[in-house]
Amino acid sequence: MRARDINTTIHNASDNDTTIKDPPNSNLNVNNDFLVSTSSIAQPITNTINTIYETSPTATDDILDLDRNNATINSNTSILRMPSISKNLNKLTDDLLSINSNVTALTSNLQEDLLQSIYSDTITHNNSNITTVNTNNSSTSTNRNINDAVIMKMDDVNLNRSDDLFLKLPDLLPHTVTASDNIGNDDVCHFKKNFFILSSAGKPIYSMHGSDEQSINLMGVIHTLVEFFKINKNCDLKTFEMNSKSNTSCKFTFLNKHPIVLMAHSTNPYETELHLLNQLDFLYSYLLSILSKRQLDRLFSKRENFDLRNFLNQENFQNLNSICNMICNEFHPEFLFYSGSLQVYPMKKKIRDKLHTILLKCYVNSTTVTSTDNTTFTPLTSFFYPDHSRDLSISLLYGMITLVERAQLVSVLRPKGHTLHTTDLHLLFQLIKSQYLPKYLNHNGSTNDTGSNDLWVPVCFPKFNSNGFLYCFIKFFTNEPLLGPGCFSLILISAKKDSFQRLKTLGDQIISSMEHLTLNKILSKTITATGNGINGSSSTSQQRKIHRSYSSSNLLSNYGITSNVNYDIPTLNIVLLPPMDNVYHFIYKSKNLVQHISPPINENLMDYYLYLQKQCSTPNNTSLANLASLDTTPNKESFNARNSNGNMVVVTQLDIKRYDVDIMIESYNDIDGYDTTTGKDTKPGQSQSSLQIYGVSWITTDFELYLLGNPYFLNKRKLLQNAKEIIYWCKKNEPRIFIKQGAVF
Amino acid sequence: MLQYKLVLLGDSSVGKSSIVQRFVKDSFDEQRESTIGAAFLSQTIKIKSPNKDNDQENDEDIAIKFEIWDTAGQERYRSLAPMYYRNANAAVVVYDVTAKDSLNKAITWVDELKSKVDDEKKLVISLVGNKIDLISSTNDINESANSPGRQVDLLDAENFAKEHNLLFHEVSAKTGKGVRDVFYEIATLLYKQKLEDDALNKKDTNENEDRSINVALSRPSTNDPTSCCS
Repeated sequence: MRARDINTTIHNASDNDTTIKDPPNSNLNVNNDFLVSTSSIAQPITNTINTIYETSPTATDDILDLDRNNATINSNTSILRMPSISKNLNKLTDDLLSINSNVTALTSNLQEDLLQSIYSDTITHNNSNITTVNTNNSSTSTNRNINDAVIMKMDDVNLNRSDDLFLKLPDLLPHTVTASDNIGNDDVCHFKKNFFILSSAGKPIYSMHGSDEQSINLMGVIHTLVEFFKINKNCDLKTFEMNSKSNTSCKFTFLNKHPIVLMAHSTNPYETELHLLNQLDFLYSYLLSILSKRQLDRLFSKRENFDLRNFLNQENFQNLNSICNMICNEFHPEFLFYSGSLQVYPMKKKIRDKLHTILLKCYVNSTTVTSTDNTTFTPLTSFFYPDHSRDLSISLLYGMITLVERAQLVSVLRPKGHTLHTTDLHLLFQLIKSQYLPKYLNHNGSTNDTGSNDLWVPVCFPKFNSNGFLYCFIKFFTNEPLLGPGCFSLILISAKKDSFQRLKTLGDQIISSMEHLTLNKILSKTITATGNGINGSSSTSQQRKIHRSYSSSNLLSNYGITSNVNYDIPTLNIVLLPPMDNVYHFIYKSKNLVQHISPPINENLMDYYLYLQKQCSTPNNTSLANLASLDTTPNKESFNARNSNGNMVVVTQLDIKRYDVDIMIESYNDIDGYDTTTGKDTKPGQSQSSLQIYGVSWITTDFELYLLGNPYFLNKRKLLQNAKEIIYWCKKNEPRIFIKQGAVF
Repeated sequence: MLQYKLVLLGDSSVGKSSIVQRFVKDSFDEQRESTIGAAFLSQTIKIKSPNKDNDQENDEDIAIKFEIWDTAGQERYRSLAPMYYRNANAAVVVYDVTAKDSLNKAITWVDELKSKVDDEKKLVISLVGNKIDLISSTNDINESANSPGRQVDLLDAENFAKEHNLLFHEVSAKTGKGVRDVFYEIATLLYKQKLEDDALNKKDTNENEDRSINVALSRPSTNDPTSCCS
């Protein structure tokens, strides 16, 4: 409905414009009408042409490196996609050139189209504003960035007129972005963040928010933009960004993976291009994980306008939704790290070692036993032994035990020299979590033996081999005495699709030996004996400490913010948290192991960490939207260490930043955690207060530590001391909180 | 205990997983995710011995363990199917009585089974029409507006089943109607086959142990080079 309105208003607007301005070339006018009626992709183009009419007199000043012939040729090729209107477009391009407009103007106007479509509501009331765009400034900036090849910035000048547009934007509201929200609310601009996936031919595949009609329009624009850069500069458009004076920043990041194009739109000022690219890559990897690159290419090689939506099923879209939701609304520290990261289920070294031994032992057993056992199999049980199992050794590629709910790794069985990429593992975890966990939990209460349900799932691991599938044997189990509560899964991955039976035998063996271990009293004694805390302090005092440190965080709840600080302490007191007296939360990542630890928390602290990360990498940037006043004297230290040879090896960067968050005393009942964006909201009836938090970022070649101090704890020295303690604790407990080797065969 | 391998085949969303769930767990989920790859379940049932032979030991119930492969119906998992039905003792080919196309798909599955499986005569195939709960409510005018009603004629399917010597049932995984019968009938038939086989083997003086092994080992390997490391 709304999309149609937009179409008509824009159409009207263009009619107005052409009549007012009296275009020199009547040819174009005819084409205009034709194009508007043809397709949604053509619509923005006409629109652009209209605006070019307005701006062409000023645009002549611009310098353009592109040679004109080149541009015509390229436009022709791009137009081949739409043969029915190619003739008209040819004329159009000629016209374009004849009135000496230039391509930069086109791009800047395309950007406006994007804006227009997104913020169409406001546009309809501001037609006059649109025509007064200062192309001169915008195009010089664009020019510069075209030369930089990828990054475009729409600077303040261009957005003089958009200030009043932006003031009306609803994204100042703490809008929780959920996939289900778009029902009944089909306006794309309501969302802080959005993802679009389309085919290279411009066919929509997926959009996180927005109705079909809306997203089709937008995807037309996205397609045009991407193609434009591809054709004219033979490069991929990566990001363009708009900053307005009203502190609303908007980023559009593109990932062009022929035959798929992905775009992220984010209003979060702390997210960098790399973060967004990372997220887009994750979405793309998900698509590959269900299709594989080979199949994707094959589908699109037959027909370029293949509609992938028909090929995907509902679950795929649900999974895309849940991935987007995970990226946007949940706290997943791994998305902070460009290089990816895994979280490990903390447990005693002894138990983990035991698990590794079991995995290895069972694996070795299975390789030897089956080959000798083969003759005793009856035909009924030997379905999957068509051959002798001479090559069993290569049939298992990778094995692991994970905690399903939190996507944490418990134990790993891997061949020497092989590891799986974190993206691949996260995809697998996500698949298991979204696809099977609910089912498992549903039946867990009602049935006697859910363990009998073994899964055999083909998954493409895009970072391992994007062209082929690996086969995962997945079995859920619980083992509270040994591992603690929660649903665990045993995953055995093989490259051979008929190795199910072998892996099942191995899997059953592993699980039963674990159960057997549990019964072993000696082990349970060791657990209780060694379960008494770390550093000699008893577990209870440790826990008390933790509780004490959280009583201060209750301050947050005084501000009407539901801070469900809920630190689950792993069961069996296997591993306790480090001393966190003045620390609200932290993330510690070991760079070597590509693993991180952060206490579980029911609150999305992503923005804080993103802010911290961004501030520390660009210390001079103070134009921030919501975390307004930065400490004027940031405590930034850089010091170098020398290794035994006296060479400088470690560069340590230490930053302390102060957040000054304006928060509203108001009850947002429907919002989990709290949202920093509330700071901009100044509705009457709300009083404002300021919350001050120190954040520490400590980056060395060895580890990364991000830390948030307790609110109102403003003693830098003590906070640094705490940071040191945490680092010390993490180093000391590395075998418990990380997996160094795993069971290697 | 006798073990038999059973595979479920059929178009996507005809209710294969629901039938299995009804059979194995006697429960039903209104909302179900479609299967990825395949799920492996097992269920043991007891059947009364036909006991027409002089088999002395079979006065009691006979335990039969089904190892069930619940496969994904989607086309893109098609290439995996041979691995599941190869060496299967029984196949349940499911269609949806409210979707005409699903029967055609079921017929192609039957054809494929007949052509690809070595021991065609031994493979017990049961054609099963699911979702009859959707058509029983067509008397209710409001309901019929929502549900498409019967699209596959009972006789059409039955005739096809007769022609190709298949077992045939119409069931509802939701209400549970008929599901049990499908598996018990298969179990009975498989057991009957086994008794006949045993009788044959006894006539052969050769030790039957050996024979069965040879059968297993001589199966052609269908290892196709689709492993990812290729």
